[in-house]
Amino acid sequence: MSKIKSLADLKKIRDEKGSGLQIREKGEEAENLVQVKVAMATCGIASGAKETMEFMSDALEKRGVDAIVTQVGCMGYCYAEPTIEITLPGSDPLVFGGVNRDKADEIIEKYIKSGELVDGIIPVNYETIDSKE
Amino acid sequence: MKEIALHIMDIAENGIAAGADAICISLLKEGEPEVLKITIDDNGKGMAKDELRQVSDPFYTSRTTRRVGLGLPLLRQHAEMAGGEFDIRSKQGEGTRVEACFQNDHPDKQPLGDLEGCWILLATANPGLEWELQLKSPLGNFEITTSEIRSVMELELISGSALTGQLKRMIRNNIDELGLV
Repeated sequence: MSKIKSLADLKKIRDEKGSGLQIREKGEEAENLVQVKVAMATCGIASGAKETMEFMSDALEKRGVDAIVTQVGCMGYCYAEPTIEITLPGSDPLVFGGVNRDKADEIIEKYIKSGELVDGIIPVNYETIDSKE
Repeated sequence: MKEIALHIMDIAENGIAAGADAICISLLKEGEPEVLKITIDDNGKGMAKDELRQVSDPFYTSRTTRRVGLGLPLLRQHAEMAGGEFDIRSKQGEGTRVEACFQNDHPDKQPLGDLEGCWILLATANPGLEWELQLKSPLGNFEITTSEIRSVMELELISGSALTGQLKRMIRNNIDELGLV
């Protein structure tokens, strides 16, 4: 196969072989999906957040988990980078620290798939005194 | 930061934080001896003169979560370490341009790294922005934008690992072809 060098080449391949490309419909409600936010400021990037994020989006797609993986700035846990925040549908967000590939894999298999907590959670309380009764 | 590509991604994040809706990343190899010049242009809110003077001071930051800001100072350090230069220009309300040059054959020049991966990651994680990538060397040039990808491939959203994998290979082939490695 010749090398893909332009979008025209890419389109040709797609037209010949059929897409094989899964496209997310835009209308899906974010609340019904697993939301993953990867902290990607200087501290995160220097600690390997890019690999974590690439692994997260690829692995979730391959394992059939409906998820949105996005990037955010520094969450303030520079000592624990790479950090990610995960919101399961209907649950409060949880922040995990030190998320390399292996940790990310464990988080997907245990927390995302079955709600089981794993080591590495950074305790964060999103409630304020005012919001309590 | 071990790769120039990671610096580029880091600086581009600043553009997102500045509220830009278009960010252009360009790489240019030229001259004798060869220089690799990277430019990150955003059309965000820009900075006032006072702020601009302080940005490459590691103990200055606009964030509130901590007291240091290392993105620009690290890029500056790495560029200067590789016999290069660093420049930042900004105008309030118009945007910011960061430029860094590296002597291409300098032993302390960092590897370019996974530029295609960084660009695709930025583009897919921030679909609301228009992303542009320009590569240029004496051997030719290559340009791509996210709106071009969407219109040619007839997509609303660039997503899915099959497509992003192909896009990465396409960009990598052009990087190799232009000798930008």
